[in-house]
Amino acid sequence: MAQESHSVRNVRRWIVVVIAALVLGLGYPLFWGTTTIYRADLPYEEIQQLTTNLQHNIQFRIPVYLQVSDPVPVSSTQQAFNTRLSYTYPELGQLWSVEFTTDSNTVDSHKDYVVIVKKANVLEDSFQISPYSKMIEIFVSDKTVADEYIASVLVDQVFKEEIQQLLSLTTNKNHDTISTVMPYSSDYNIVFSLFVENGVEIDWQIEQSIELFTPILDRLSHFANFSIATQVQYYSKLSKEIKYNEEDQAFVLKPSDLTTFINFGDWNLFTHDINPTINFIIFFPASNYDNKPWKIEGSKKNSFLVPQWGGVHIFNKELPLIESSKVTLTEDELIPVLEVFSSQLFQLLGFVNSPKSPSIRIDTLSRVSTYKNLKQSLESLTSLIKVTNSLSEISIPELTKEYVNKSLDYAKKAIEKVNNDQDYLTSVTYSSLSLKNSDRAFFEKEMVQQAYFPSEHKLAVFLPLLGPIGSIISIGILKLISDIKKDRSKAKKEKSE
Amino acid sequence: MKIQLNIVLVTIFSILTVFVRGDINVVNTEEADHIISKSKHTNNWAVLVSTSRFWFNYRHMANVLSLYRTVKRLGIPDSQIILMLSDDIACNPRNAFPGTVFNNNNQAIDVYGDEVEVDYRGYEVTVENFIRLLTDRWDPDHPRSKRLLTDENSNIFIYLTGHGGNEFLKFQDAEEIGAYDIADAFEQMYEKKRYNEIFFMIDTCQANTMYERLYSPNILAVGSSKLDESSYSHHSDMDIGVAVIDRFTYYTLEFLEKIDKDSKQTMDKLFNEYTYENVHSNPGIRYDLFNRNASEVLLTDFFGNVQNVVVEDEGEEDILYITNHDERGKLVQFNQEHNKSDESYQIDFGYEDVESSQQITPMTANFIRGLGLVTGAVVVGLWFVST
Amino acid sequence: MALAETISRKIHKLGLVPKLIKLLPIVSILLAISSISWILILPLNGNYRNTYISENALMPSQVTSFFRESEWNIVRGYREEISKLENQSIEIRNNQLEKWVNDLGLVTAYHNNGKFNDTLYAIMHAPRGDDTEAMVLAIPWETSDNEYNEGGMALAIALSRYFSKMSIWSKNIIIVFVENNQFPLRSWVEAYHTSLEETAGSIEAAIVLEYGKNGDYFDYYELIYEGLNGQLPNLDLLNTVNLIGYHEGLHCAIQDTPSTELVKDTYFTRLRTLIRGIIALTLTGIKPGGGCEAFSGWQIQAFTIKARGTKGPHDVTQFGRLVDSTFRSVNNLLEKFHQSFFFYLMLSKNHFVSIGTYLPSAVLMAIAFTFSSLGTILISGLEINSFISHSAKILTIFVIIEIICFILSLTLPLIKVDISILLIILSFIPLGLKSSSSSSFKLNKTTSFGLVALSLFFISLLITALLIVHFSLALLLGLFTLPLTFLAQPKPKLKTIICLLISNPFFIISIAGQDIFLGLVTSWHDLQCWTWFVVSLGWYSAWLGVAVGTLSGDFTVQDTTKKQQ
Repeated sequence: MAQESHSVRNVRRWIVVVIAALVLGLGYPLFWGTTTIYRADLPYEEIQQLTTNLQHNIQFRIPVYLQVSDPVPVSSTQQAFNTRLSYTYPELGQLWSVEFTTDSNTVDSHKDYVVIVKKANVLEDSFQISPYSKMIEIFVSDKTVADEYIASVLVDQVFKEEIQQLLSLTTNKNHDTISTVMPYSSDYNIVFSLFVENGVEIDWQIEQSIELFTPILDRLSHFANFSIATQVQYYSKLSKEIKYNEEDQAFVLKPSDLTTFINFGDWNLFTHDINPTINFIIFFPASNYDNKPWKIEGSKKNSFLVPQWGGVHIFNKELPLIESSKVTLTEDELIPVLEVFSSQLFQLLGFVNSPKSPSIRIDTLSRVSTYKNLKQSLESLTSLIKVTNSLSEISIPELTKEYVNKSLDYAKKAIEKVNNDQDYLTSVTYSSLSLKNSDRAFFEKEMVQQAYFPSEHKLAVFLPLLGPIGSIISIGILKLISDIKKDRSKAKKEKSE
Repeated sequence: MKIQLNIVLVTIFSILTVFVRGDINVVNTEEADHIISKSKHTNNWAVLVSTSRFWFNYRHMANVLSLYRTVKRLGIPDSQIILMLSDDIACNPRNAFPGTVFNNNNQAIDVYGDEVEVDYRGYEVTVENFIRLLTDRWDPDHPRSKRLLTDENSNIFIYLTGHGGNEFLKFQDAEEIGAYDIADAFEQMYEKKRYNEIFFMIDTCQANTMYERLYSPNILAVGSSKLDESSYSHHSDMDIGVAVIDRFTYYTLEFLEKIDKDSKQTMDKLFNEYTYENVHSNPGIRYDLFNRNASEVLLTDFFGNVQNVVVEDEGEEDILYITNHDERGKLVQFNQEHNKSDESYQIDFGYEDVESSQQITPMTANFIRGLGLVTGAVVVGLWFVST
Repeated sequence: MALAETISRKIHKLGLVPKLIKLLPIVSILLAISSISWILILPLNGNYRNTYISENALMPSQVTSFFRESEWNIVRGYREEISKLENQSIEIRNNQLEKWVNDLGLVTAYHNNGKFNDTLYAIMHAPRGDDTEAMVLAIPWETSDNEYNEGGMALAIALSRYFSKMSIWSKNIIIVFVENNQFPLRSWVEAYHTSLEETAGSIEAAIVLEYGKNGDYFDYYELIYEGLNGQLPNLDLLNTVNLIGYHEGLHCAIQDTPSTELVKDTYFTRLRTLIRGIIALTLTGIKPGGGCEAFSGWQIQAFTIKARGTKGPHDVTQFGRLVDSTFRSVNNLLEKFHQSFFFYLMLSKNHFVSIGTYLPSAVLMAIAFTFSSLGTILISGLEINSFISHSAKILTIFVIIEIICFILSLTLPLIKVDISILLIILSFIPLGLKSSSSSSFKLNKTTSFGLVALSLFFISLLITALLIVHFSLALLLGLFTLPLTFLAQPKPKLKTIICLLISNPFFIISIAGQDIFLGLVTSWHDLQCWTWFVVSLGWYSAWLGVAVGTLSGDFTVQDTTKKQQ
């Protein structure tokens, strides 16, 4: 049989080897390098560790200053408080507590909690929480029960709702009812709208009235930024006609009417702003000119709250209106309405309902928000990890990793601020920044997962290109290996002979 | 005597209990809704997408625009509707009635006409943009009206129409979206709590294959035809010269015409409309990912914008007073000192500059040059060796 | 190399060569017969397909056409006026038409083609369209049956008036008034794409309208669709117009189907249509056709419709609606025609075969020639090496033959000579060569066999090259040159001469007639049809090669059977 010459065979072998080397040494690394999806390493363990231990890592110790006429050791009050707390809320653990210190009348009750213990003139114990500050006056009839009474006032009255809010956050209970609280954002728009049913011009002294809101909003500046806007819209019709009720001598709105009261189609409620808007609507019905009032069933204030959105008030102008003169909604008329709105605002932002004092409530909000934001931020990061693990084709850019690290950084700082300094104002800011960065990490623009190259396409494109060449080369290599084996066995045979 | 006393005591007691228990009869709206629907949503969004080009796909635009009108009529505001129209049919030169789109050959309603807000038009309707929309991954300066800003209390109605096939939907006659892509996008939305419930409706050929791959909870899906089946158009308009509406959407709209803003009609009544006689194909419904029964789901849970209001009899009415006055009733100027923390931290909620690479695969230009040189050198060297 | 050597040794061993030599001619003939029978079995049930609309965007007949009763009066009015112009010169006629058309608001212009009268054309710009594409309606003053096209002209003006009132056009419409549908139309199309100033974008579709003096009524319409050089319009366009005709209740005749057999659908009618179609496609450009061939070469889908009969139940507006609805369908398109077939053969107006189905017949024919060529080599009994060493000489002779043919192809069109004289000259030259065969001129055995084999192989390559593009020409070429394959056998000289004669291209042409010859030689200059070049550079050169090889060379086939004994 005609054999190929030695040189020809060698050349063929070299060709096969070189091509295979090129493919494996140069081609494949190039291909791999340019087509792998970049996936940065995310600090998985750190996120997990922070998430599971959040309840234990963070420790709120609210400083409470005692002012007692007769000096009483703080330790016994503290003891009584701890006993009461762990008895009423055993699942609270180390998360939240109070630290008593004696006060020599130097503490500012607007800034810190001050408990003033006095002797009661009557047989009963009583207490009074100042609505203007964080001062709590306790009147005890008998001194020996003072500790326990102080503890019970603080646990069951002052901080009750705060503890309950924190507990609901820790236990992760699925709420069946709709939450009224708006999702947290670092910026809110508050819009006061006056929707007038007909086209007759109305004046309203809203500018002056809004000034009353500034103290609250300023005090919440560490929590979020608020911007206020107002608008008036005429010819704002309702989507459904309400019938006049002869019996009540008024237009009566039943709760079922309220569900579709707001006419989203026609009323201008769009702010074109990315930040969430809290809308407060004053509806001025045309029937005011006929002196026919409106009533909302079940609300003396003629208002209702729309969860996670805002509030609505239907305005009845009291005095009979004169045709020629322009109607003005005076500051005095607007203030009660704004009071309702402010109470609705508190509900929308997640304030506790008692105690009354806004100082205490804002303080509570700071603490609860810190915890809530941290929890949400870590949940967000955990979801990010889950998503990136389950979707193997999604890219994880460096930017995401940076934002994740930033978010963890801020979270740790927030916890530190609470644990070390009990500084609730900065901690809430940090927690909000942590939340923001965790969102930025999750919603990073580059992380678009799409089956750009489903397996079928890859097969269809690469198989015709590489199939024929690949098969030839691999067969050549196999032949080469078998030839070498044959030569070796031949040489062995020759050697043995 | 004893009995009479007992009777008197019982009567008094019962009267007292009535007073003590208070007004049992007043159930506020929240509780009433709680009984019927058990839905936790507070806002409604709609994403309406048409994916096909060319004049003969007039009916797909008509489908989407009809649903847009319906959803708007039932209360969802434009700011919560994302409308994606892939081609401009109203101003197509072939349109015998320029500036209009009709969904019926009686030409009774012009579904395009007044007050339509198209968020994505023409070539902006791409697979990538659709997935970005669902997962909310955009440039920071992407306009708000073009984003799906939903949260965990949002119910979303997603409607797709166009030409489709086995587990894909054709976008713009140039690319496709796969069933897996949509499923992954929904999963990301679920992880980030971007929806409460999703109602996914798709009207294309072999539509049911598009929802077979979904795996996230709380999604109710409905498709117009099953594998290897086409979805048909309903009728043509001989004056315009095209088919003007698809069967599946036609029957959906016919049912929704009878609904108004506060209707208590449930989903199962809508699903009863999807019969083979009507639609001429086998529509499918996917219930397994949804934890409520179709008979408990109100149509307005997805198609409307019903607000669950809270009515309080007596609220607080002195907050403003308290915050603006002190104990003595004097008007107080808020002292910023109270709010200063120990660390004077400048609260900056804006975006910080991040100096880092925006590339997915970080390859510097020098690296690429070097790689090119090495490759070239190797090839040239081989050539020399072989000669 | 080793592989071929091994096989050839094996073949020698087994004595396959003599067997093969005996078999090859039979195989070759069998292949040729199977090629023809392939065509014959196509019209059988199951081998052809029903027509269907492939492009969903067309939506034929989906829109109501309003070219009806009220427009009929307008058609009548214009027809009256046009019939009065019958005896006027075309210049005067064009002037009148120009006035009418300008009144409608259309832009008009003239095209001068040098030979005939000027061509008037009008452009209607779509009011809301892109102004990038156009559709053409062409009306010759004289129909292809040499009749005054007064009905067509009237329809055209009435349609222009009707079109100009509609706002739904996305493509422009061009109306062309040509003197006849041959050279002037072709010249206009060429000028449109090169030198004309008033244009309206790229032309997507064209309809040539012929409605003679039939009056208000016609019986049925005839559809002509062949283009030059084997090109055909996209099948979707034909299906569109046929579907529209069907919805109008009109009957359609293709390939000269007699009026009595319009609805007849048998094997015979389908076969007849098929064969007529093949012949018609080959003769397009050579014989005067319907006019739609003028649009070939620029990706324009065109067809001609002619109205036939005068009694029928169908009125002239129905004919107009054919045009209107077709234009509406083409208007719906955004892309060029690309979905349906460009290569097909019609078996009736509703049946067709696509290229995948009919191509094997030409392939078989080409293979037949290849085997015949191989057979020639093997039958010579010579070594392959000898052929290789003589290859230079063979090729030189062949190239000389080609050059001669090339010069012939360029000069013949200029000489106005009768075909019969030509035939004698061209056919008998090689015979003359034989008779004057001095030994110096006599080719040796290798060269002659090689030349014959090369020529046969050349024909095979020619058929293969033309297969797809111009199937009909390839098939008929194969059929006519088939006698050349019978030569590579030990045969008496008379038979050789007869075979050579009947496969001579000019013999065939002279049978076909003087006008075919004239059409053939002028078709390149007038219509850019390259059939003449195929005939002279391909067919005639191969024939010359075979003729020279067999007659002027040592073309003696040894009786191998005797050798074996």
